[in-house]
Amino acid sequence: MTAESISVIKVRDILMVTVPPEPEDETISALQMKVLEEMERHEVKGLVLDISTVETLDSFFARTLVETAHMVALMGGVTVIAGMRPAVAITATQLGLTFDNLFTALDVDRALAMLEEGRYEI
Amino acid sequence: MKAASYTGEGREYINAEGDIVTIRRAVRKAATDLGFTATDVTRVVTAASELARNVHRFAGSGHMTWRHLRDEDGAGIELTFRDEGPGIQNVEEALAPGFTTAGGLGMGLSGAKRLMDEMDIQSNPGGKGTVVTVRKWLKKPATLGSPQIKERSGLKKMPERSGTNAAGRNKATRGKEGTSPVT
Repeated sequence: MTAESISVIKVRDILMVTVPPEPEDETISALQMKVLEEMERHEVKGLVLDISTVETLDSFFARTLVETAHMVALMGGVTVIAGMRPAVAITATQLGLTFDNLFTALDVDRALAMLEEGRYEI
Repeated sequence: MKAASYTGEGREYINAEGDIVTIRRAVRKAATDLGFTATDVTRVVTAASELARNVHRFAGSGHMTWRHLRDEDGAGIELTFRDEGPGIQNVEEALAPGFTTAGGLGMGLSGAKRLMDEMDIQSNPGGKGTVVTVRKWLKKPATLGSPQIKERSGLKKMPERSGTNAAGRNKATRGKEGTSPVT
């Protein structure tokens, strides 16, 4: 999976990214840069990161996700991580990963609703 | 480690960051072929990812060997990561959650240990490299704390080696997830 194959889609005033199932570190870093550039280009209120096909979420991947959400927040946006698989959630927790200050949703549908309705206050 | 026979094996080399993904794929296939549950496959693959990244980050290159294990009690998978890097100065310290020398999350070694059943680290600081071996066993549909599990836990406990050993079977996770019996 190459960095070029990642597409950032704008749906109304929300950016949507589908993270590939088995991304290399380089791809994840490229994804972060692309998202921030698109944030600047469009007037959007937030970002949905669809990780429903992701099978391995290791510490590097998790750190990049948390960092990306923080950067998006600094630019004035909100990030919602959508669709984490049960096996990935179990493994991430056991691995000791924390996703502080990060919004999550069961699926993309709910993530979009959260952002559109502004229902993401903790 | 306790003797077990090997029923299949493979090797993948780590020379570039992209090889971490190759390792994940190979381990996913090896773990799936053995019959692990989806959650255990994810645990094993994630542990492999952390350990492969450590090899890449600290030693630059190395390799991983996976093996299907079989002993009188059942089947499992063993992953051995070998490198010729600088070695680990203090294994106990390196296993503490949050310990980091590379600006990461510090979850690599400790996290991999929690995801697997057994971990053994042989390291010679001063350039002789590091060998990290992890194992995960297929769970049998027995309840936790049954005599069978207790006995197995005792049997599988890895022998203490002087200085550099950091082993331990995560007893708490054994038998939690019922799978079909190993035939």
